[in-house]
Amino acid sequence: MMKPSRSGMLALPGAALYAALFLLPMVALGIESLRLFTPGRVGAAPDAPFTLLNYAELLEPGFRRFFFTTLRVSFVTTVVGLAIAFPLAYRIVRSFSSRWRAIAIGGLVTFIFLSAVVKTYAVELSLGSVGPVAPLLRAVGLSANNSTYIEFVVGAGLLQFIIPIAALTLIGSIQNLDPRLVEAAQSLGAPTWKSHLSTTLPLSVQGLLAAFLLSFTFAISAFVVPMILGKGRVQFLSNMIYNRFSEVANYPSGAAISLVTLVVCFATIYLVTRLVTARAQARGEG
Amino acid sequence: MSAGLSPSRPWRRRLDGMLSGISGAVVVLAFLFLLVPLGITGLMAFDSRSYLGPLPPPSFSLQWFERFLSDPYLMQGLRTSLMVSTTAVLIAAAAGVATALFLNRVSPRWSELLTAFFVSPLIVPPVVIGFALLLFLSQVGIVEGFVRLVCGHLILTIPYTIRATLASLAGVDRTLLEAASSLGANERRVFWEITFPLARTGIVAGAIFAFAISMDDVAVSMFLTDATSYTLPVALVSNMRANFDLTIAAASMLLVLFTILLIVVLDRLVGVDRVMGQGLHPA
Amino acid sequence: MLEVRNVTKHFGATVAADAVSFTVAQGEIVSLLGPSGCGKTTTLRLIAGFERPDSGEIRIGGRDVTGTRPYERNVGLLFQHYALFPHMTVRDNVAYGLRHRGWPKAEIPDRVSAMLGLVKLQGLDARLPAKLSGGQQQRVALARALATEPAVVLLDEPLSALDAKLRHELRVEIKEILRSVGSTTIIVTHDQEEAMGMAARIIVMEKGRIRQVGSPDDIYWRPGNRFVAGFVGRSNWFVGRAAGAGGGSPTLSTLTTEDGFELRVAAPNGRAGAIYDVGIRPERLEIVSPGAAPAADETLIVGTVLDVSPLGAERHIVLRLPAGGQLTVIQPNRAAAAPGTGETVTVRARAADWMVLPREGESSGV
Repeated sequence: MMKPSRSGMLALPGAALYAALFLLPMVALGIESLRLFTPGRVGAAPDAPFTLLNYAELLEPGFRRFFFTTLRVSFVTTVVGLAIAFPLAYRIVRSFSSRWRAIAIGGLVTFIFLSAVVKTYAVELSLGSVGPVAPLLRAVGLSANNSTYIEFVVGAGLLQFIIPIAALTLIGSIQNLDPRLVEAAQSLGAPTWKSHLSTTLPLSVQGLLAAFLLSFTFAISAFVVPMILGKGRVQFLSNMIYNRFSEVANYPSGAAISLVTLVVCFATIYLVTRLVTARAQARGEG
Repeated sequence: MSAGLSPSRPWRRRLDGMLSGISGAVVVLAFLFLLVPLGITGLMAFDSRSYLGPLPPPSFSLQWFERFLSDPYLMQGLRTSLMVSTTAVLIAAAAGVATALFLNRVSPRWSELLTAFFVSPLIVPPVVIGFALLLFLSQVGIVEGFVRLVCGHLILTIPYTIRATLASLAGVDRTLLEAASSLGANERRVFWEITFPLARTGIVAGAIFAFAISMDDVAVSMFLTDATSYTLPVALVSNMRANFDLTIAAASMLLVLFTILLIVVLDRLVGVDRVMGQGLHPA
Repeated sequence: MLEVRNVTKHFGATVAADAVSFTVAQGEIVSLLGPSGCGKTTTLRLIAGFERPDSGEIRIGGRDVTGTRPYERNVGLLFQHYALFPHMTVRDNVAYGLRHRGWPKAEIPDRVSAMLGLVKLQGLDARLPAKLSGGQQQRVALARALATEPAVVLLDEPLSALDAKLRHELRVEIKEILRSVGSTTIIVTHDQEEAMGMAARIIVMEKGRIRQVGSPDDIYWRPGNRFVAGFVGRSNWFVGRAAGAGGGSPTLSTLTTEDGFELRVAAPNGRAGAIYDVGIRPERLEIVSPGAAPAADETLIVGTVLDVSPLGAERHIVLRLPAGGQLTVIQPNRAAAAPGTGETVTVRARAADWMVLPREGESSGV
């Protein structure tokens, strides 16, 4: 609609900002990850030789542990989160009065907006070593510093984010579901549970995949939750990156972990969207 | 009357009952899970004891709120946060609107591709963004904490302002623009008299959303702070790691209040929006 | 005056407008009629300047406007969904074009009041569009479109968003206003009632091409082809073969249907053996007393009543013909003589009432 030169002017500020604050930093990250690190320095020397050592180091068991902890805790938490969010979303859409539905959705939105610091602190205060749960733990002979319990607390912390994210995503997709389908299944003699299994669930798979994607990518890139609630015992990739920066100033290693984290995120997004489009196509043809 | 229907077996009915019972219980537990920790925090924020004791507090006071508001370290963080977020969001909103307008103008194929690029920072873990920025800014010699924080918050918020603007522009009915141009208004006037006024609410709501994201950030800011320039969330997190006291509970309650206020404002805006027949989808 | 000369527009591989040419005289109301996808909306958008033709020329008032921007043409538009600016009052909506077309500032308020008076909306000038009914919104839109005295007024399905009763009322009113203002108007619609009720001349389009141009009566009674005949109104169709010239009269001929049925029709000037689509409007059929003898220019058809639907003003009677086909007869719904289902009735068709069209692709080629 406008002369190209004018449109070009509009693109200028965005292009400049993205180049300076996104593209060039990512390139710098890639280059740094290939530089040889000399202990004692802050970051690699500008003329340090190139090496793959920073990546090779990540294959060691010590690092692999962080990698798998991140994936395991994120995956389990996401699955638990979806198992909670699905009935929650379904009930909010189908059984709540319109007034309560609005309140519940408003509450979930507020919760998403609520500061991560607040949510993390609240979980620590409730489930941590000083909270009301601690005496119960001691009574059954568990320590609040037990690493399994800490993993559980980190999971609980992540769920504070995942449940509202997943529930709101699912509410969107369940609202588009036709309740008459369940009723039709029931009128054909299927009991409620079976009609849900045969109609509601398959139709919400798209929504579930979207909720999974959002929740899982949130979890694997989580930073504050494992940092505070993990107490150094449970650490995610994000925390590793930060430690490489703040504790040993080994930027090349931090850069290599960053790129690995990035690849994990992209791979997840790629796989899940492939699933979604494959399903959409299958349905389109069927 | 039962001839055509299969007789429903009692176990089936029991299973149906169990299903609705379980889902009901899940709903109750989910809300408890989300709200009880906040409730405990709220309760503890008013604890009159000067140490962190078991629940419930024997009596209530506002001492933790006073301590928070008179804590120079945290107050400095709050001031920096407000300044960094305001600066970043103002720039991000202006650049975001310009970028979205540009995306709105190029051919659909390019627009799709470029939009994907411009929102791509959203799928990069914030820690990676923070670390990459730290590396790059150090290399080019930008070491001033405030400037670095603004840079970080810019790249954190621009994708949101672009997306909100794109959504708002898409929400403006194309026939209105055609009507205006058939009535003699050229492209520039159509934009300033029709497109922009109708998209404005959505753009503002997007900026508020971006402000909330910015005020809450820890992962990017952690890398970019210096001794005097640090944000409130970063200060709270380092306090949490150092000494776990109830100042943070008080701060949390104030942040809850801030969040509710924000949602009310956004709701008002979207409400006003509805009169104009357009919606907002920030998330 | 508007001239569209040989205008062609492609969207990818599809032709939205294929060598479209027509002229609209000063003060004339013309309708572009056709099913969705026929190119009528594209033609309107080309005239308004929202699309640029691949080839051809558009002239408004003698000036070539083909390459100009929409705001450089003096064209008024009425949209299906009104397209009122939701953030402006009724007054500001109507004044919008006046401000941009350079009317003297001092005259604008009077002009706005006059326009609102014309569409009978005095006193609503401070309202926002959202506070108006659909009919009122379309009146405001009309006032806005006409305020600048456009050289051409384009109406895009102007009434289809309104309910049936209001549609009829507003149609008469809009027509009256357009006439009183004397605007050169094009109405784009898929609704034949809207087209026939408002326009003096109708241009029927299909697949980007003009299929027929004529008065509402021409289009209805003398369709140029099977498409127009099928799109406008309903009719009973047969396929007939010409028996050869004469048949006793120079102006009449006989067509034999596939079932061996003989129809007396006005002579179609064809060779013997040529195949025709022959159709007749249901309201032109008349039920006569059994055993009546046909005149030379009449055909009598006997059938069994399958269904009678009294639809208010008229009565639709569906007959089953002995050979198996069906025939619909429409009668004015007077109290007398509705045949009962199962009854055998005789129907009379006059030769002049048959629409006789050469089979497309068969008779014209050789």
